[in-house]
Amino acid sequence: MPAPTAKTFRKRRGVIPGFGLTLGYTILYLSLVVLVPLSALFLKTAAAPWAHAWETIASPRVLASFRLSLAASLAAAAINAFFGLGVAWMLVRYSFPGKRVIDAVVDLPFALPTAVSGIALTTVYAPGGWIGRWLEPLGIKAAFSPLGVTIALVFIGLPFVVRTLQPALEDLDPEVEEAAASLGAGRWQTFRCVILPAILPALLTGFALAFARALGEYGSVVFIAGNMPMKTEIVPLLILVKLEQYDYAGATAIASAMLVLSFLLLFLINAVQWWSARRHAAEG
Amino acid sequence: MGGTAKSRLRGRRVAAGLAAKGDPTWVKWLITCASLCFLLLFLGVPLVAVFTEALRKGLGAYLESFQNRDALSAIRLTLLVAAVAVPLNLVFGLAASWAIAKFEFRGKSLLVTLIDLPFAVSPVISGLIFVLLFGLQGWFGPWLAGRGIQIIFAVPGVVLATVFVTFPFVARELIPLMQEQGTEEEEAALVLGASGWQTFWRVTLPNVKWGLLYGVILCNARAMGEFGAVSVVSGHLRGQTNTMPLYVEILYNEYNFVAAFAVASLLAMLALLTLVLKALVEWRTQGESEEAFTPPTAAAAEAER
Amino acid sequence: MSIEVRNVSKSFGDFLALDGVSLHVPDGELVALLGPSGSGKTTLLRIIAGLEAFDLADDGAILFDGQDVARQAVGRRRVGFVFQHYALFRHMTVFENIAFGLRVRPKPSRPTKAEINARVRELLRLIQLETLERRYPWQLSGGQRQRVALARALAIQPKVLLLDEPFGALDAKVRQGLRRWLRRLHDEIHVTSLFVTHDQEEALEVADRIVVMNQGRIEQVGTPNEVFHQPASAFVMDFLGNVNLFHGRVEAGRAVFGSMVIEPPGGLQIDGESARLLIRPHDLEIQPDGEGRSGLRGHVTRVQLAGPIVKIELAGENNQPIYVEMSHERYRQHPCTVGEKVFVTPRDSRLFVEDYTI
Repeated sequence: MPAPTAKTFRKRRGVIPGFGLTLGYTILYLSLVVLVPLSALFLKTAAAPWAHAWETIASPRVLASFRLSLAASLAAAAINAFFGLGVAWMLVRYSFPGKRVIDAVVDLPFALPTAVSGIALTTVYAPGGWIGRWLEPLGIKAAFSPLGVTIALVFIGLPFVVRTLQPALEDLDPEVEEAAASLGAGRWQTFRCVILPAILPALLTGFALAFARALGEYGSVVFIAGNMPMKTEIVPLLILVKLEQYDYAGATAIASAMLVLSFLLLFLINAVQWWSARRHAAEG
Repeated sequence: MGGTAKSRLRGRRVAAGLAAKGDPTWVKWLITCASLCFLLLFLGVPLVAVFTEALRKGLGAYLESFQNRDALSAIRLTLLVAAVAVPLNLVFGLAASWAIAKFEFRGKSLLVTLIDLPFAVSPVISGLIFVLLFGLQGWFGPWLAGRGIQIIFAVPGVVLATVFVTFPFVARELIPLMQEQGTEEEEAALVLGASGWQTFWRVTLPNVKWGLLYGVILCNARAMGEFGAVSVVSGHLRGQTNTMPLYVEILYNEYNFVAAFAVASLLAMLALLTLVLKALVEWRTQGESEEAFTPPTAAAAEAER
Repeated sequence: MSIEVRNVSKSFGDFLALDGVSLHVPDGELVALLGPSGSGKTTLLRIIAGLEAFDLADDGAILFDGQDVARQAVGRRRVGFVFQHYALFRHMTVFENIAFGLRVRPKPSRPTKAEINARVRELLRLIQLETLERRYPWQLSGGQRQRVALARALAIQPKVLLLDEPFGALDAKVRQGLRRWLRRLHDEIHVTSLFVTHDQEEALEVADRIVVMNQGRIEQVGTPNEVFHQPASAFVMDFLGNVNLFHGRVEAGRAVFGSMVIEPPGGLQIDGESARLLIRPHDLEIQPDGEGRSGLRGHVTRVQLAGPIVKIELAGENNQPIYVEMSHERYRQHPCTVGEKVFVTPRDSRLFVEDYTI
């Protein structure tokens, strides 16, 4: 039979209806709500004089805020990676009364409005507060200091680490650990050489997610930070400060710099996930 | 059937016991204590503090905090914002997950990434972009001002910013769920003569109802609690553009701690309710997926012959 | 209702799943689409149902009783389709699943509640699951799900019944029972049925007619008897049961396979062509000595006596394995032991020289 030419063919679609409608609506709504507003930010930045943008970002106050935001976010993400692993390990491996409640409470930072967590953390860690009063005699100033910023960022980043690690820990094949044990590996060796490499992608992803969230966080930080220029101002706060001074170009410049940073992180997270998925596929 | 389920459960418990046995008791205690202390310091104490501070001057003072116009209008606005944002993003979530899960097309993974975009944007920036669009110095600002329409420092701006930050929640829950369920049931319904709408309402929607509810709960929690984005666009006009989180901020900055924590306690209760609902939904869906994997029961096998 | 498929093609990207397929299924028959995975059989079935987009040549068509349905929407074709994994609606009971097709009819043609009830009850009786109508799919065994899927398809009184690997997901024992049940059911209701399978035994046992497919084309259409005993190609013969395959060459009008020479009546006019000889294990005979006849030499490597027939493995020339099957009765007449040198002669064989079949 001669191969029929393309002209003689009639193409027919699959049977499930609504493709055009739903995809069209999805793209339209996405564009209106997300893409157009976001692109406004970049177009505004591009349109503004570069000198002014650079001047804004390079000013000591803004640079100090970037330093604080990056350092506090990194510290908080690291603390979360460490304790988050402990919490996830406990929730997956051990059984104890009240485990379900603890498991649910881990999501509290997701669910609690950031303003509420902000004032609550401030009250607790302020000099006279429940925890602050124990830290004061030790010479530790928790609230209204970079440490306070870090505490708030630990609070909001925790679920990211725990929730990415939990499935990874659940997926671990107990046989692999048993094999390691049967080959004479100690518990610590098994953890270091067998378990840790397996959950490393999840740990990295959790770390990066917590870091990304911490960079942009505003509500839970502004109360506890004290917002002293050059000392405890975070980047999102400076955007607001510039806006209140009607310095739209300055706000836009800072926002663009931050957005680029977030997108880089997003890209990194996707890369880690792609890498681990590939590794997984190669193993499976 | 009860027998099978029970023995499966027992099997799991034994496996967990074995795995736990891997850690020496002192390690177990150390990890558990450290983790619980950490959770207590960072989550437990602040949560309790909200309620204690709110009730510091007694129930009377607590209740009085809600007895003024500004508090009531903040509550009303918060409910209104959620009532607009949640349905909008719900419809979008359904449309997006239908298109993405039931069809193959180029650029699909890009689309999924774009849907997640608002999560990667700082709340403050989420507010800023709407100022840049609709503010007096923004693209559409002068045009809108000429027609007497105000968006920034008004309710529409608050709604827009909230829609943006809660944009991905429902879609994100539904997409993986629908992808996992495939298209066979829809095809079966269509072969049996159902129309597209009938298929959607009678087959697809009931199958994803728990995931949908989950997404709506999360979306609602964020819509009612959003602070950063809203504080950029609201202008903090008392009794007009203050949502509950913004009102909390104002009261707190005025050193009116009891009232601030009283309003905050409402939001905290909403958060706790969200967590409970979430746990319920998770428990429900877990139960269902377990049911799906239950092997044919002895009775069923009997009837087979 | 008869089904006719005329010149239908389908490609997924570069992969040609169906290559100009034409097929006629007479009214009331139970027909099997048999082939290995990737042969296009499921694609063809889905295209007939209207579930798959396809490429239709100008002279192409899909006809139900002479009426073109190629442009008809899937829901209006009135086909009963049984999915490989059943695709039961997981949130509906058995009863609701079966009633679905009736309940979604547009108002004017929708049966009354009582009629729907009666119809569903009748189908439940037919599939022998009257007591399980309130169960959910996850509470059923694989075989029960299969029968519910069938009842659901039958509820809309389909003009044709299409089944995709109907027994594929079941274990061997349940399969056996369901196969016979399906055959009986078909004899009872006589709706034109087409089912896809990769299991030749299933096709041979259940179907009135078998369509053997390979690489997007139809290799042969025939009764089970025809496709088994007169395979149209080496592929069909190989696919329908075990065969011994020998490679040889045509020399002086005869096909030569080592010491075995096949002389077709009338001879072969194509010297030098390569030839393939296919012999079923039960068509080989073992003798202690060749006595000058055409055949193969070999020694016995394994004798399996357990089972309804005796299975013997030989190593032939160049150590090529040869499989022979015979009845216990016959084995007792000519017993052989491992290591024994024997001579094998074909009682029946099929010779394929390039495109010619003899």
